[in-house]
Amino acid sequence: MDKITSLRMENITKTFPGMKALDNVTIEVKEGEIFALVGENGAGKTTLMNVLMGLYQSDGGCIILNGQKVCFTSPNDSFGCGIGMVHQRYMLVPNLTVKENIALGLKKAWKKVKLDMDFVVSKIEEIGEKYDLVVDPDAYIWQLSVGEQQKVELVKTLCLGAKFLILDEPTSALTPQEIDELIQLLKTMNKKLPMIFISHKLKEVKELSHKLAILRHGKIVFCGDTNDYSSSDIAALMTGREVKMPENNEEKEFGDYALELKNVNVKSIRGFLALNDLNLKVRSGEIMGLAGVSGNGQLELAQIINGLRKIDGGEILFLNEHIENTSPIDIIQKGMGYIPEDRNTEGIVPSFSIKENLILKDIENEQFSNHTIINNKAINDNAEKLREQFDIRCVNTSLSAGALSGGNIQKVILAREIARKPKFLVAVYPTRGLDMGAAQFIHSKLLEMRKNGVGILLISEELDEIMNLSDNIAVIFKGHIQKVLPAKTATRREIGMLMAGVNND
Amino acid sequence: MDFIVNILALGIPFSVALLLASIGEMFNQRSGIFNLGCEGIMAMGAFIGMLIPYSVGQGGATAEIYNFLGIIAGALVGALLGLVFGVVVITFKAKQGIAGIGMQLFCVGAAGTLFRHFVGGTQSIPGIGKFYIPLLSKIPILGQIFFSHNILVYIAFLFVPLSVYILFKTPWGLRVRAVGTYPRAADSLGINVNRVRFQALAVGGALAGLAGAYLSLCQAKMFSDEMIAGRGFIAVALVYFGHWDPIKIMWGALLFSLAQSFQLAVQGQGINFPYEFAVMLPYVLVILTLAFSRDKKKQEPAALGIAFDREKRT
Amino acid sequence: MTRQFKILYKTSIILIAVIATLLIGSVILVTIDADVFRTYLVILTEPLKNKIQLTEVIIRSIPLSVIALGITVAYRSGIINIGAEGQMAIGILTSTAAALAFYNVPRPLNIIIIVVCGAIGGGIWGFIPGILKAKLKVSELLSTVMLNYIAAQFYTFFLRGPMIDPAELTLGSGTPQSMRLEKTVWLDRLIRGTRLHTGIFLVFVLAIFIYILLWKTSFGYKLRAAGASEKAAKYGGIKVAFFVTVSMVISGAFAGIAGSVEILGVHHRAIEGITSGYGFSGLVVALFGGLHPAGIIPASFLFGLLLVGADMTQRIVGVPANMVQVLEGIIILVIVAAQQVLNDKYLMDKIWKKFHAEEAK
Repeated sequence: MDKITSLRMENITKTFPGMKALDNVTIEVKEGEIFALVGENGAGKTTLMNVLMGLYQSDGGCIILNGQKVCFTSPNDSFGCGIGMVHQRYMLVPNLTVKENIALGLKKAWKKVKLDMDFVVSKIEEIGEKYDLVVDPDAYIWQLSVGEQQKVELVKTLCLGAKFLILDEPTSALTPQEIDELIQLLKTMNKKLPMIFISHKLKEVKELSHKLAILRHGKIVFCGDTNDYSSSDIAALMTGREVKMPENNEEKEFGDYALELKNVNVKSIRGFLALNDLNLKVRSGEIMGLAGVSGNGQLELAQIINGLRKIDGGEILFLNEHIENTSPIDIIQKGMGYIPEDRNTEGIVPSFSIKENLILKDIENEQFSNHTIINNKAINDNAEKLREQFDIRCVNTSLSAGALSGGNIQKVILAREIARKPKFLVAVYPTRGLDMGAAQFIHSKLLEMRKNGVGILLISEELDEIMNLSDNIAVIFKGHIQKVLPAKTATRREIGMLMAGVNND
Repeated sequence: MDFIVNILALGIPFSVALLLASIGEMFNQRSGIFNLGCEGIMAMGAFIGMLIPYSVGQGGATAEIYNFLGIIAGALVGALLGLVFGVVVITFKAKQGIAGIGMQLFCVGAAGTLFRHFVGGTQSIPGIGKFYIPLLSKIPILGQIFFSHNILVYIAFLFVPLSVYILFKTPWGLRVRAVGTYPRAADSLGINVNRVRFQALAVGGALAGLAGAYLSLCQAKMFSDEMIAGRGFIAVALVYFGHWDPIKIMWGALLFSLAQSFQLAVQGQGINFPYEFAVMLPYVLVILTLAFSRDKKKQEPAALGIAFDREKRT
Repeated sequence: MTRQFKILYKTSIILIAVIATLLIGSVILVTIDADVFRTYLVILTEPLKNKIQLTEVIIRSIPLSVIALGITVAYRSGIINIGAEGQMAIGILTSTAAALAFYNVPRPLNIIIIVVCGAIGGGIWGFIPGILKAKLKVSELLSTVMLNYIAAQFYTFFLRGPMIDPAELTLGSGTPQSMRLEKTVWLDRLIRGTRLHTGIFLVFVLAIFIYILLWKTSFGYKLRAAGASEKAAKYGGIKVAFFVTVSMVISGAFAGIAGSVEILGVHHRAIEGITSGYGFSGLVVALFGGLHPAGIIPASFLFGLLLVGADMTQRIVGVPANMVQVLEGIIILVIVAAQQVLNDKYLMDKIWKKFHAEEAK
């Protein structure tokens, strides 16, 4: 097959335990098109593409390629037909080089006993020339930035003979400038090959795609030409209702400095500085948004504030007390709250019940055990109270927390942290992967805490979230705070430049 | 001088069982499987290895053939047991650490049971003799240390560069490294993760079986229940010590076997030292090396110990 | 999915697991030309046929259950202790030494001192892998095995050297064993003509203690949290390293107690071979008992039966006693595999759909 002129997925159905991920979905993509697949998190976009790639087997429906019915049971089948996918989480083995990663899929290099690396390199060069995509074949993946890794993903997919590209949320970890660059690149590449573009960012969808389909709860709710609809129409169709995300627009006085980091240095496992001379001050009642491309020290910052990692230099003051290199329990008892990045295994103990998770930080309290025998009644009462207050949807609170949906797990964490009446909160990616309803709930709770005078450090990779909620925005790059901007006057362009390490001051 | 030459000449053959089993375990772990059953697989290899020459051909011109059949059978049984372990930890996705203990108990028990039925009590066998490499073995000192061993010693040391080549230069090695680090990425490229892991387990098992057969046929020239004496566990420890690198693993295996031959040589000299403390030495050494070999996290295969499930949503 | 279906699913998995265990075991039995059915029958019923054998089963189950309780504490904190054999050996050494040293102390106090010394010895042997895991991330699977070998050497060293019964030296027979303990510290026999001793009551006391410790106290909550998710526990301010170390000390102490009870109740002196196999058998009992005291007590009886029964198969059907090790190995493999299948919601869903589709037809 030289070219893919049309691709049709017809009546695709796929069920996971307890949920119908895809329900009778039909889409069609033609030559020369960029087809956008839009929907909230959990709507079934990625599942649909995994079916197309042969990674998942659908329970019903079929795929028709250039008018012929095909059956994909493994990624090898879909590659064979020229379909390639760039996954949201890059499928690159970090401790292999670029060329080794590409050789892994390039079966022609496997013919002899020894891997034919010359062939792989020549292929990389050929693709590089054709699409103007230059990568260093000898670099290890872990040495590359997120943007570079994405290029490698594109090169890899093309080297494997893709004549049809699927891009799953390709912009989620890029700076605004990198996003513009990628969109231009995709536009030129589209002249040679059709694409499916998965996103929930409507601006990019409008800019890039010709046609779009909107998925909601595993069903296609709309399909048509992108130009016929405005962004707000699409947003309404995506969520099934008008969603107004809460915004921070209430003027207020801030309190004293609650958290101060002075000249903090942290070495990473590989030896470089994960945090480099970092300075940051947050006041009570202030929401400080931390913007940055992921992997620039955000997680390390959250860990050191909460005592989960040692620092190699500098000072951390919490309510005017030194907390650097003390233990997590000391910091918790001083009134620090923390919503961790990994909600499934760090924020909760998955095998423990919901009610047990709700007292993870308070088990030693007088109320719950007074250091010896556990008081089950108090634990039950606490759980019932919080379940109602935070709308945690579960049959009962004795079930294991790991079985809850992502949104409900986040509510459990939020309930526990807020119920402890913290004086400060570190929130890391609080709404990542959640649907808009849950995100809305969490945003309003954060704003409520601000109203009550709690200082919040909000770490996120969603620029919209940061700009909506923050009073001030700090931009982090390579473990250093580039600049702190007032949220009212900050522009995307300015933040984007800072995220990329360009500081004009 | 003789004392040192003796230690070296004894130490090199001692290292073979550890070396083979460790390299096998390295392939397992590189593919993401932690196989603590190594000790048991060695026991089965040792038993099967001695059973064939014992029961079919004793003495005569054909004896050598049966010895080698024994070695091959030991390796085959090892590979088979590796695959059995694969069924438990890959197909059923059981937790690997604890499953390895089960595997070890099963194999050691089976070897003991079968041994009592087919052989009965302690029986020594002629085993495989030394093979003096022409000319080279005549070199003074060096000849005795390096070129006067049985043929398996040379083969075992050839496995070191061979496994480096396999791991870093062949397509299969690349696949093994990928599935042990980021199986989802390998899967997205159409590589059958579980099949590669099964293959690695078969290779690892075969090498462990071979190590066992070496012990019964070349080193002890008999079989007994306790003959593996923790070598399988030491082999697993050596993989950590050697940071999943065949060459470093080889140095580790030599270190341990030299410690052992040193202990024997000291006793041979009639130095009064409680025998039990001398026997303890290698085990103490394992704990110390595990405690003080740093940078473990850096090279450890990231997916080690985690079963792969494509449809598990993360 | 209905509740009945879930119960049906789980019971059938367990049933399949039992059948699989027996079938895999029979592969070995067929290879050695044994009568499969009779062998299993002998193992499982022969010891129950007379009083002496039955009490022997219970005697075996006493140390098994104590060790399994200790292994449970460690397991719940996320550490697999396969070093109970070594911990038990050291416990026997320290308790025997204490018994020989304090011979003129009043009886109840003396017994307590001896058992506590056993617990201390075992606890120290458990502390080593615990602290190595907590501070230096040394795999406990390897360190505990190595410590088993080391403890075994210590054991023979002391029984051949410093602690040998002087009578052995004068007689010149040189059997490695300690002096016999004073009769005043022997545990009472419960049934005349058998070796069943009062140590059995200790099992129930310890089981209740472990149940309360793990499930009713804040200490147990934190210990289990540390084992269930290290990351979440650290996040919650729980000192994981502390709990890993302490749980290994408790685990080792329990093995040590098991050793001292064996000495006080059964052997009345330290001899060789007391500990053999108890470490791994204890692990199987702990797993088979669902890592819970209420399951461990019946499980220890079953495995006591297995151990006594296996000793008898040699005589009655000519199957070597090593067969029990084979069965233990298979049981571990089958349990860990079955656990995964039992909790596999995806598989359960698939089977449910199949049933449902057929019903609909």
